[in-house]
Amino acid sequence: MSKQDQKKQKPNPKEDIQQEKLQAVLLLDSYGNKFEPLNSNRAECLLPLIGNKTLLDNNIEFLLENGVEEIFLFCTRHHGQIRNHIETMKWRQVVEIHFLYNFTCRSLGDAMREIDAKGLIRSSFILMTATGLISNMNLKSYWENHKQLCKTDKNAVMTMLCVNGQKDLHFPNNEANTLIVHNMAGKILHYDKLNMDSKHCYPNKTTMPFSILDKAYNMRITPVQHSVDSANAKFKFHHQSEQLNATSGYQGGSADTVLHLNTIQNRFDLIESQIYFCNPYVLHMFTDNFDFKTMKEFVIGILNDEEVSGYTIYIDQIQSKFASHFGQINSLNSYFHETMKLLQRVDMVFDYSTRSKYRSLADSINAFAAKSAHMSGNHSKSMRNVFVEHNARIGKNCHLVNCFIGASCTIGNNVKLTNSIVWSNSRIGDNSVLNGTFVASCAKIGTGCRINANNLFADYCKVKDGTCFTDRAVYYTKEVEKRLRSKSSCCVETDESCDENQEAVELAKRIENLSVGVNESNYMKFFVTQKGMIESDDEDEFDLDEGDEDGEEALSIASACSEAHSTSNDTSKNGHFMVIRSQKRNFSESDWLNEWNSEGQSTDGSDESSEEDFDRNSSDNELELGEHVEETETFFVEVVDSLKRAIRESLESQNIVLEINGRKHANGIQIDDTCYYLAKAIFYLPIATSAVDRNLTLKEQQDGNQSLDYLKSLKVYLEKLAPVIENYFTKTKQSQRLFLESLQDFFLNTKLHSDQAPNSFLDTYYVKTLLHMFNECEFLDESIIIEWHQQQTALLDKSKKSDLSLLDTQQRVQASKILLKEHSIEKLKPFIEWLKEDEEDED
Amino acid sequence: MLTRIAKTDYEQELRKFLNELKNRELNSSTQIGLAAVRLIKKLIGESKWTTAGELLEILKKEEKSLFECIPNETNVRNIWKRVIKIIKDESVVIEQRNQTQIDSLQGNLFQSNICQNLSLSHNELKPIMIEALSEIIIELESAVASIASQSVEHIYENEVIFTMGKSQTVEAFLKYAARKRRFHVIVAENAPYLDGHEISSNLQKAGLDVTLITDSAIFTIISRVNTVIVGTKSIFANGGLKAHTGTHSLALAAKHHNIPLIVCSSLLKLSPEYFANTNNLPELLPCDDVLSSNFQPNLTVLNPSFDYVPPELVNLFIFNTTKTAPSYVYRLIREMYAIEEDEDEFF
Repeated sequence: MSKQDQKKQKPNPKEDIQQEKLQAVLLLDSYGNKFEPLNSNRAECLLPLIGNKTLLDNNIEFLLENGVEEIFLFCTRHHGQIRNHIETMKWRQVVEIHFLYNFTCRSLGDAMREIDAKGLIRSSFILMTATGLISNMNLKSYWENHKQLCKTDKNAVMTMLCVNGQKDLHFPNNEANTLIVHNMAGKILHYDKLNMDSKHCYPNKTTMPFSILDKAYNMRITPVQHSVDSANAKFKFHHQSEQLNATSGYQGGSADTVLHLNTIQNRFDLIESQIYFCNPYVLHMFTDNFDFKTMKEFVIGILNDEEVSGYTIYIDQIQSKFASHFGQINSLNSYFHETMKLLQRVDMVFDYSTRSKYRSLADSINAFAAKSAHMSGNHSKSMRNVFVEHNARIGKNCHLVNCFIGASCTIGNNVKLTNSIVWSNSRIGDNSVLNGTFVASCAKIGTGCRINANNLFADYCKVKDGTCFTDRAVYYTKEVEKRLRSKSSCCVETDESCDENQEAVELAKRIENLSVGVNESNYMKFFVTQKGMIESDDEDEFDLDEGDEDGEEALSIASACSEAHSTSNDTSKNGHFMVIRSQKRNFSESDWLNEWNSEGQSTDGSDESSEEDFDRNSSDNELELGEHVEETETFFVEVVDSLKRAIRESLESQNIVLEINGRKHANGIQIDDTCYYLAKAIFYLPIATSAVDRNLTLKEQQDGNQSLDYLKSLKVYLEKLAPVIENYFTKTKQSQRLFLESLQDFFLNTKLHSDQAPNSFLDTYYVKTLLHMFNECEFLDESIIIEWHQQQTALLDKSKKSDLSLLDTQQRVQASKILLKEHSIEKLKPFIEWLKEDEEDED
Repeated sequence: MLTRIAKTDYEQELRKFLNELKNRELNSSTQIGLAAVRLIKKLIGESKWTTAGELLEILKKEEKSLFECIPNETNVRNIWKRVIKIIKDESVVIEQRNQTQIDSLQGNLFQSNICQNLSLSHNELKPIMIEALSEIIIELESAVASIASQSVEHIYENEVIFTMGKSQTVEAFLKYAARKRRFHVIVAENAPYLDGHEISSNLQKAGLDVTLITDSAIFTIISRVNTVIVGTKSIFANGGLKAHTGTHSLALAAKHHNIPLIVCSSLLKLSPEYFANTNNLPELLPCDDVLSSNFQPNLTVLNPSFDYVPPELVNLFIFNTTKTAPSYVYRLIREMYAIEEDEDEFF
């Protein structure tokens, strides 16, 4: 930091003298998951490219070539890694670099707010993401245009650079499809992201606000432009023509309005380059509006507010020149293909000074090998577009076409590599054939492997000898998988269960046929089926091998089903690997599933293991309730507070009831929920009050018997609150049932204190005593308890009998809950029997 | 280029120059040449040297490091070589004069030794160098015009002229002839960069009768042609051409029909190198210039940067001032460049 501070101080006097420096903000995170699983243990911006470079290096050099003199790097994750990298790089000395980081940023908006808070940027700047593009374009003229714009239109805050490109039909990317409506000066009138219809690859209907016509009115148009573009505009407009005609009719549309349509350009074909020329206001705007998370939201927000604030956003279209290159990276696929393209673009990868050392293989076409690379035999005839980094070893008779081989890799004899990328420290055994494969660092591919389809092997993957892959997939190790899951970004299944089962069976068959012998079987596998469905499954062999030892882990992987994210048939034929990623993320549900499965296993075995999970379940349970949770949660807290106060000040029961009703109305809680949470609050009271006293009576607590404490204090509270409880819980049977349920849930989910052993074992003991006590206090009806118990046991039996696979998700969730309850109910059995006997006796 | 921190003006200029080359901002050989001269001017002006020998050392050192980076820019190297030659020549002349004033007999005796001994001082050499460099600049700037002025001798009334791709020299050549003669021009489009489109529309504007054809139609069309006139990227020491891809097939077609092939080029492009040493093999240009980016990437695409045309297919070179047959190119090279024995990489 001290170094940076010094550097910051130095240029300050200069800035006054010189004209303002060209500044750039480079965001190092994509705030997405596009590089999963490769980004699990390295920063996204440090993903390697060809020529001993990373994405970050490439983009910084891109900025340098465009005359940027000061770069602000903003980083959220892996900042240590990035910092170390920067210190070693040679561009460190050439340009002034400020390194900012903040761990808490979750989105582009957060990052912008953070940068604004630092207050380092005072002039216009270039905003770019380090992971979004590879390019060698010349931005100077566009920057001049932007400056000019700012002079003519004082309200212009931003210029988006767009590339005119055809939509990439091979990798339909839902995020990339934008509709941009702009006028002749490039001012954006309307901006919308479109959902592509996967079958037809053109957007569904969109609605455009009528205000864009008004905006078009305000612009002065020269007649020349008008005539030139009228034909163009008409052509481009036919998608929306019906709708716009309708709207113009609505305004009493004259011919005028329709004529002005010609001044509007409707563009589907623009790809945002993720390069933005921003005024410093942009940062302030992000700070003012906390809703802005992404650039899209920002643009839409600014456009919506245009009438109020008057700020405008422009686009500029990049004209492609000879040998200029622009590649967008928005998925693993595009990353792979951009790297492949770079193999054929020496001029982009190497700066001129490093180039010569790679030219030792002049005979073959575009083959570059670092001098320290070791190659046995003569490869000149079988190499084309090959880059070999230093210390790589390549065996005899290798056939390498369109390959990148990273530093310190070892390639065996007779290996055939085509269209493949191998990162550093990987090994490929003899006689293997790889096509279109992406092997990340430290991976091992055995001898005689055949990988025909496009596969991606993430870091530390190991593939057994003689394995054959024909499906396109992404493989990664379990460690990575765990990490991903801990980030709660695991996939979710939403499919119908029957289908899924069939699929699973199919997949199991296919695994056998493929004879995938994956070493140590630490892999998650994703399959792309013929239907274009993505399905995940673990190895069957895996279950057999290790199922007993760490069954829980195995099951958790088994249950992490991926959501079937349908892609069109076209993509599955293209011969690119699919990137598997679910669109929806619903963590709690998948967790429930995990629990469900692990419960299903462990109920047969030991009860204790399942009990350990109760606490987690309770939290999940609340998660699942979603928005509702917040209301009930506040209600619960409020009720606890008011009850505490009531007891302390010994208020009248009437007043307490009134207060609770007031809270109920304030939070909009249903009567059932009120009963449930009130009961919960009452049971919680002893804990809440003891927590308050805790600091004072620490010794007592250590000595004293906790359970007795709880019971005693609860008895006291129950006596005091008896009228309230009678008011709520004795009137209907339903309320009594709720009371019982609440009681049960409470004891299942609570461990009294964190320092106490997490066992609900004791709690079940409480249930007995409490119920007994309730009979004495006569809050509850015996018959209802018995009825409730029967109901519960019936449900339990049903869920035991029914096949798990036949249940849909909702039922599963319920069933898993019931399973939790199972043992508490078993504990209740003697008590219930006693009650029954009692009843019969009375009869 | 980033390894050095740009301290001096020369290094800044060098960085700028390399960047411009990389981004292809210098789109004609004249511009590249002028930029190179400017670079040398900066180098001579800034570096510290007292004698001609030191200056030569500096130039050679820079040449080596620079052309490791840009082995394909033969024209820049040519200029470098020419400057070296000028220094050598000038110093020899001055030494001779100084010596003869003192003792003519001795001077003649030790002349060979004096040639090696480059002890010409800074003050004497500098004005000469500045003059020589400005001469080169003038030569570069006027090259296109002086080549064009010779066009009337080669193009006659009602002829059919064939050209391929865009070359500023050829364009000027044809335009100049069009002032005095009426003739027809056929332009091959030169895929994949299609710069033939540009030149044909330019010629059309100049009032010429132009036909644009595809590259694949060359052989069909060429039997009707009287003269083929092409530009080139560089000329090797044996008279072979480094030209647009497709020029070789054009030259062969012309040979087949015994149609003369004339090459218009400034003297700058004449290189002392021979074809097929490690530095000047054709490299592959990006395939996305050939295919749209949406295309199947597994397909192998070859897009070589140039064609080598052997000298026997060329009939005549038209330079700034002279016309030469390919077999006499070596003479010009002897005149223009100092070929040293230790620089065996050329031979």
